[in-house]
Amino acid sequence: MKSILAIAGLTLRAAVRYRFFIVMAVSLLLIVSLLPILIKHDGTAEGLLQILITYTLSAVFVLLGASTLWMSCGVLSRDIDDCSIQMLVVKPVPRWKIWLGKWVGIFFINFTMLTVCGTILFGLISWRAGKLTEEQKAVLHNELLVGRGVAAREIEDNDKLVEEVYKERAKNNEDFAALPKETAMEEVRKYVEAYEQMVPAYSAKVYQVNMSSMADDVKDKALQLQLKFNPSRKDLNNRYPIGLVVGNSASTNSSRLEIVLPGERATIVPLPANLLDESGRVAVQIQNLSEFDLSFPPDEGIQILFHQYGFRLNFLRGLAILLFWLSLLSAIGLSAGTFLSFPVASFLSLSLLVIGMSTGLISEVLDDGTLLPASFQGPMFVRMVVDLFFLPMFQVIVGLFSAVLGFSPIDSLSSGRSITWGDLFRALFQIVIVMGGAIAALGMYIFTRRELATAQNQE
Amino acid sequence: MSTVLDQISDKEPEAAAASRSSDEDVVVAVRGLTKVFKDFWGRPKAKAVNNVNFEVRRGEVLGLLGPNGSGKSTTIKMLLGLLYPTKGHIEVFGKSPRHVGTKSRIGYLPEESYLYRYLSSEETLKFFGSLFQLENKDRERRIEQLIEMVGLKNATNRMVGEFSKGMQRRIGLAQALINDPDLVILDEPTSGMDPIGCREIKDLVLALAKRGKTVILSSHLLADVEDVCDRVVIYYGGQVRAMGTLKELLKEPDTLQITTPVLPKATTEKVLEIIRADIGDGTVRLDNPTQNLESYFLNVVRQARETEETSGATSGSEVAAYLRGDGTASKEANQSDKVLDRLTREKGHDPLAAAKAKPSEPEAPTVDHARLDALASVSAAPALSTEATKESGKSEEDLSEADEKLSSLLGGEKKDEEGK
Repeated sequence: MKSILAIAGLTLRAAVRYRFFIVMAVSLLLIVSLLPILIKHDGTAEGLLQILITYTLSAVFVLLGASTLWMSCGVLSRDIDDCSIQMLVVKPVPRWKIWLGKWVGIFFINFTMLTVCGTILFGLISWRAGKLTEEQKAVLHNELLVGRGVAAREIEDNDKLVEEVYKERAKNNEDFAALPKETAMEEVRKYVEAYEQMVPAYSAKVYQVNMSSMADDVKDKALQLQLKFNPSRKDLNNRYPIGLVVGNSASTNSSRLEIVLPGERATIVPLPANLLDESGRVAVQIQNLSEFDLSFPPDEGIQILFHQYGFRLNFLRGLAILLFWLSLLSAIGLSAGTFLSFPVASFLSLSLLVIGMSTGLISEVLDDGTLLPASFQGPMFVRMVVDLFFLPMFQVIVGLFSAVLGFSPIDSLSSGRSITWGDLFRALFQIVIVMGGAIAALGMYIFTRRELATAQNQE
Repeated sequence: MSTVLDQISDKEPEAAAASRSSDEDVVVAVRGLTKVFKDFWGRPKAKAVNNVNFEVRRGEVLGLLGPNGSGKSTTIKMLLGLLYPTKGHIEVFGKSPRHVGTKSRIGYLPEESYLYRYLSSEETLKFFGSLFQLENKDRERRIEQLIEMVGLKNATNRMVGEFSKGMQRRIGLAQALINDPDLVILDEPTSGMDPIGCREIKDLVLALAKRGKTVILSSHLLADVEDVCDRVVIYYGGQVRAMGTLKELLKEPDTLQITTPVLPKATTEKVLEIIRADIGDGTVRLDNPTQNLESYFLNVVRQARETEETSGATSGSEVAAYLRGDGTASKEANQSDKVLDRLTREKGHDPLAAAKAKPSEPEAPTVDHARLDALASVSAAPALSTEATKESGKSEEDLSEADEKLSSLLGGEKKDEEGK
């Protein structure tokens, strides 16, 4: 442990004496202090948080992420290139400890920077909140500077319905009956799911939100309903009248209202307390008063939000997840630096980062089932070969990165969503232990096995 | 005369060899060592080391000699686990060079300075010392002694990046010794050092060897190797071309060397006549000895040191106490050995072998009385020219210098005792 800490201290000292630390600190302080001043917000609580958390914290993370990659690529590869690593490797310290010591040093640097930036941001939020109107202050403290839990609507088991629909269709349609059962069932399932999500024009549907596990926590506490829908056709003004009945006769309380909501955008509607029935469910009746069919996606179409944590703890957990990502980036850089020169290691690491940021696009390609556009006119075998090569690779990339990118602390913080302890430990496990651990193991293995000298003294 | 003849006989190397009994530990064993450097595609590029075999025993000073690119540094790097052999086998303290625990017994000074430029000399030693699991107090004490020893007391807080090459070599040497290693590997240790520094390093190597440490020394400078090594291995083209003790390798069995004080001209002619009568005219040479440049330089600097200050590296410091050994008895023995060593050292004489061959016997029987008399006389005339006489000239200066050193050592010891 002593040797790991000694090497970590050496890394810290190098960062300070090469003035990297001071340059980063000044850059981050400028971002944190100047960006909120330069970008004017619209006077709303959401606008304020968007600037302070979404823009500023994102900018801080981008700068820290790039510098972490650059520093971690250099801290080992430069030592190997200029042969100073030889002085370390001939000492009684296993090579994996040398690698780990460097990683710990970078972790300390990131921890310090993130803590300072987070503290300043928190202070700025408190200070700037004082300049809002009373109404917006209430929104800020009740809806945004909180950690709100989310209960999504229940997804019913449609297997029976799918089976029935399939049989019915197969009976009435010979072409459908001729399809392979798997393909036909999949088609029917998508149809049934789409049907289930949709509230047709001038009709109503009831959805259930199961809050039994948090019934005690939300008792006597006001709730919020978040709605997001996709209209079948776009209204010119993008405004859709909707009637809501939340709660039912079995609930202690219920709420009725008619509102006009925009499409394809999440909207929050305040609800009173005690809307749960005896089973801990909340019934939400959507009355579509417009002439368009409205589709409420299963994951974010209908959600009930409830107060779960305070902002401070939520903010700390969000910063922790950012720190986990920075730790993963430093593991990537260090591992690349064990067998590549500094420029090449930097290039490889940045490429991986770009690929990671493109997983949304890659997922779309996988959903389409082909890389080439539909308008591609070339021979069929070209499309087959290209898809045969790229699609499995894309599946692996999405699979690997989704484990890491499935967390969005900045979005959660700016929208007042809670980051639970479960989210934090899951992030720690997936990002640091599994993904970071695998990359670290690879880096340590390469570093242990490789020769660190050549015939000449310089590589 | 008989005493002189004894000195040039083969008795001592044989005695030294005899003293190395089979139960002495083999510290480094190299068998069939081959290293082939390959390119990115795995094609052989260069055979740097080719089927090298040697052993290094405990307490031995082994010199690796050879021209540039002969494989010396490659061999050293394989001993340290920085490179892996293509073929063959290496054992260091009975284990693979990559064994982590063994490295706590090794000290390494590379050919170039690979130290961290942003650390000061004290921080450098603190950092490397912390990797050896030393107690903080022990580490601090050693750092203080090492900085004193390498003459960098005035530059403790300066960054290594600001040092001259020689100063960097000094701090490099210090970090190689922080753990009081049993095996010290020095790659061109005197490179970039001034002559005083070279002398001090050589004295240090001898001091380490006297304590039973093993030293492997790679150098281009033959004089340095000749001064300190017990055995040498001569490389060329990655292969060992010659190996053995200096005495064995350098002996010229077909010539004889006689050392006398200055003789009257008539006596000289008589001696030459007798010799020429036997072997003819052409092969006898007669001239006056000269002192070597190192001795002259040391003398000049010693005189200058008495009157001038310097901001660079200083010299004349003692070997660090923990490297010398801490016992009073051994200290006294070391001091006596040092004085007698200087008095009796001549070219080709192997002081280490002598010390090992007769560990408990006084050195008096091997002392050259004639030379001692010459040194003790008030007006010593220059002796007849031989290289051995060169050494006696050096010994006169060494005696006074040794006296000085002895006083300072004894004075230092008294201070230590008072301190306790």
